[in-house]
Amino acid sequence: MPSLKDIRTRITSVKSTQQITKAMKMIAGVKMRRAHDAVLGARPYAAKLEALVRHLAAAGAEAAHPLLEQRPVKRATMIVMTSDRGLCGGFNSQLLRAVETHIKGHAEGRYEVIAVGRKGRDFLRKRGHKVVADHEGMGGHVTPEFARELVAGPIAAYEGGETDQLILAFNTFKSAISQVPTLEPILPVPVPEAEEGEAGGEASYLFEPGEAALLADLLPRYVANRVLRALFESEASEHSARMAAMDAATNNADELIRSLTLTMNRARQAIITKEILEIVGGAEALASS
Amino acid sequence: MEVAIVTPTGEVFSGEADSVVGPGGAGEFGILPGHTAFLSTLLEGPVVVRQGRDEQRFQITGGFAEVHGDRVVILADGVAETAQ
Repeated sequence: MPSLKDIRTRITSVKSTQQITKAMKMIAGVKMRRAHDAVLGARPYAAKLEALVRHLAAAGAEAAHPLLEQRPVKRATMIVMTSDRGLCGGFNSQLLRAVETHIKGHAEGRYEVIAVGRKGRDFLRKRGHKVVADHEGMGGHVTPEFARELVAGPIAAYEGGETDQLILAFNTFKSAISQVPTLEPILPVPVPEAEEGEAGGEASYLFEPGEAALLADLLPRYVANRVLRALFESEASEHSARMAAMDAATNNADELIRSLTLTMNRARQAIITKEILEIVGGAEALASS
Repeated sequence: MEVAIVTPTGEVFSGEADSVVGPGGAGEFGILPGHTAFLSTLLEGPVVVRQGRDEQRFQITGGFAEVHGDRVVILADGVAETAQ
């Protein structure tokens, strides 16, 4: 039976842990809202850019570009987006599991990984995957410039024939309680399907300075924008996952405190009962003598 | 006509305008209402949007312009500064 003092110490320590998880939950909530705004803010540009690629692809099928070229996949590159810090539930593990399953299913050894986030880098290194580059400290500092730099290497490698596919691995932000691990191939550039009722009338575009030049300008930006959106999604997912995890932890701490308090009260009552019995026993012994 | 200037991180401008001037990849261009469908690259430089006497200037770092029907969409990589 633990002493009263032991239990009291435990309650205090659980309480202070709870304070931390509560604070982390609130911070994650604020950061999630900010990251979610970034996801929403990036949408109009992304939609317009996608429409442009679609128009160009529909108008000039003959204007092929190296980034559109499909080839048999011998070597592939993967950009894996995880968090720098833990305490965010299954956020990192569910994504890394999906990444490993994919790599195993497509012959190991021909995958090169670019890790964004410390957790993914450490895990994949330890598992013996080829991590060729890594970035950390991106939380809250994702910019279009960073996305462009991040993808410049793989684009050059693709054009030079050193890699045949580029895949983005990240958690899609579905809602505050749901993040979905996503593997999205972005090189060769998948041409977006034409939307209903949009066909026709596109051939009449006036292109300046010409379809091929436009495409050459557009495609790298399109790829970089996909990366940027994935980074935003990943960050929003991270904070929402952490918020959910910290909410659960705070509730668990409540439960623990309740059951510890019960044990403490029981122990205290037991001591009082014992003392009364001793006093009564002692008084009777005196009276009978 | 309707004009929108968007960057990867959000919309910078959206509204009615009488004319738009931009730094096209094949030379500066001007767009008035009724322009034909048009797609162009944009270099670094100012995009000027006029509505009546008002003039707004956006210093962009490159991108694309699309004209379709009565809509002008400027996809800018970034907007460095704006001035009335």
